Amino acid sequence: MTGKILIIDDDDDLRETLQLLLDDSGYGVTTVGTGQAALEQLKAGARPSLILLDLMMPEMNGWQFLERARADSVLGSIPVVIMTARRKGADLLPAPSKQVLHKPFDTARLLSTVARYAVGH
Amino acid sequence: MHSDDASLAERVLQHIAEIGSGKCSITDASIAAEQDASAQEILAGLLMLHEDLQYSQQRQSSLLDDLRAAIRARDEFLSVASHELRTPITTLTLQLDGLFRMLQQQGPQALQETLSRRLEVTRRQVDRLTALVAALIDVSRITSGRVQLSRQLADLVEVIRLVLERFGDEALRGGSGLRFERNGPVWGNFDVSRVDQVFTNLLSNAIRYGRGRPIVIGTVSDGDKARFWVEDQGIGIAPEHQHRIFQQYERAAPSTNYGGLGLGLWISRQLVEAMGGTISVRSEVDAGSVFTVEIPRNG
Amino acid sequence: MTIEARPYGTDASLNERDYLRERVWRVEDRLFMLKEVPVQTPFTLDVLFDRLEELAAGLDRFAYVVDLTGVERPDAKAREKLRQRAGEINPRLAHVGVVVGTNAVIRAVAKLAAFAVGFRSISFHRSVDGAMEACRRALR
Repeated sequence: MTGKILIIDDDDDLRETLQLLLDDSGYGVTTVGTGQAALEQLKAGARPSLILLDLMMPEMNGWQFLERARADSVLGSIPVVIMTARRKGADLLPAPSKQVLHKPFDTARLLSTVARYAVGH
Repeated sequence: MHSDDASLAERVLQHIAEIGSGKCSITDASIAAEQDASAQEILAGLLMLHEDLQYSQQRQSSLLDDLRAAIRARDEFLSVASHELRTPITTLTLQLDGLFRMLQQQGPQALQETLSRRLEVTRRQVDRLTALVAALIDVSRITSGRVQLSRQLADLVEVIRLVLERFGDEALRGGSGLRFERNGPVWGNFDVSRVDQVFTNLLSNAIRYGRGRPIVIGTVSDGDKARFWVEDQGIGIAPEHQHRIFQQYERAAPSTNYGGLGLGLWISRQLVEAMGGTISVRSEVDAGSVFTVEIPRNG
Repeated sequence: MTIEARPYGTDASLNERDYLRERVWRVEDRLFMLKEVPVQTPFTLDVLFDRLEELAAGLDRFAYVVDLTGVERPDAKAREKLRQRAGEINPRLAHVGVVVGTNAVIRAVAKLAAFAVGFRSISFHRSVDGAMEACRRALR
């Protein structure tokens, strides 16, 4: 496990806030605003140990991103934690997602979830 | 004759049983072939009963379809609304958590560098939430018919000008220039806060979808009507979307890149109509849009 | 110009509407005549009933003869409109004389409408004269 996290969320303020928080906790954080941008980074060689993924995004939503991930052996092996405001839906955990963080979540919950897949230095 | 009556009775009962299960083997031709006029009347009546039942069923099923579509639209709206509300709350929570931890673990000195920025982000979330809650309350009021107007004597030009002042910075940040083409004062009895709200919505849209290009605002007094418009040179709206954008929960923008609940124009239209006016759009994809509102000067 | 045996709808021309309206006329005091079209639609029913109501405006009691000879069996939608419009004039209707010739099916149509609407006074005839007489008797 390494300490690298990729955050995919279209909300600028939330991305900035998550970055600050996880940075402070010793993780290496990259953030992008679209699924497309994330795919490009991964194609260019980025290998985070965890992806934090928002479901409701423009153009390519979270589900669509997961579909692409499943089709790729490298991408499909990176654990994903979904961030969502949705409450119901058994469809919430398609692979490679491991866990759901229900919005709104606080620092303690975020950090304990992230710690299961990545290490801070 | 007795046996004829009995056999007619049986046939009628057979048809009634048929009709009860949604079928009917009577046809205009089979009726015409009957010898007895009474039998013809009876069978014609049964056939028409069957047709009436089918017709009524058809209407119910299309009502059901409409209902399902409305429920789907509402559910999707709730999904988006929930996301739009819970995301800023998450940011707020994490920011405040972070401030608190820094304060505790490192003392107030550590905050100095980032406090300003963090508070800015925090404040922005509160603003977003405030706007969203206001929109949801508006929707609730409008759908339960509780919009109340309070008119006062005012010059529309002044109302517009005040909004423009509020927006000044934001427009500049986006790169759009704002130009106000007034055509003399426009006095009337207006619900100033609602006019402000509608104009603010149109102006926000123009800035949001305006691609940073100049925006022109105009006002004019036209007989017993007051008119104002907002013209942008932004992404425009395709003809097939132009009436949809005023519908509840709809957005013609291709992506939710631009955020929001898709309610602004619907609310604006409801408010304009409550004021006895009309709102319309002229637009061309990639060239821009003009939104025009016309309201009576003396409601 | 004659009204053809086809369904007329809201796209009918003004000419066609005028010809439809001409199929309703006043015979004498409180007595009117309505010559139905071969293919009844909600539209034609509206036009004819509108005209009847225009002519009978202000009357607290009136009667009319409806000539259904040559009429095809109307569909569920048209019959629904018939019930609606008939129901609206029913309170003022002293009598309806229905000319059906020997057409049992059309007689059934008229009866269904009458029962659904609660027409209190209706009679069936082979000729217009017979229907007129029945109306006049009811109006006395």
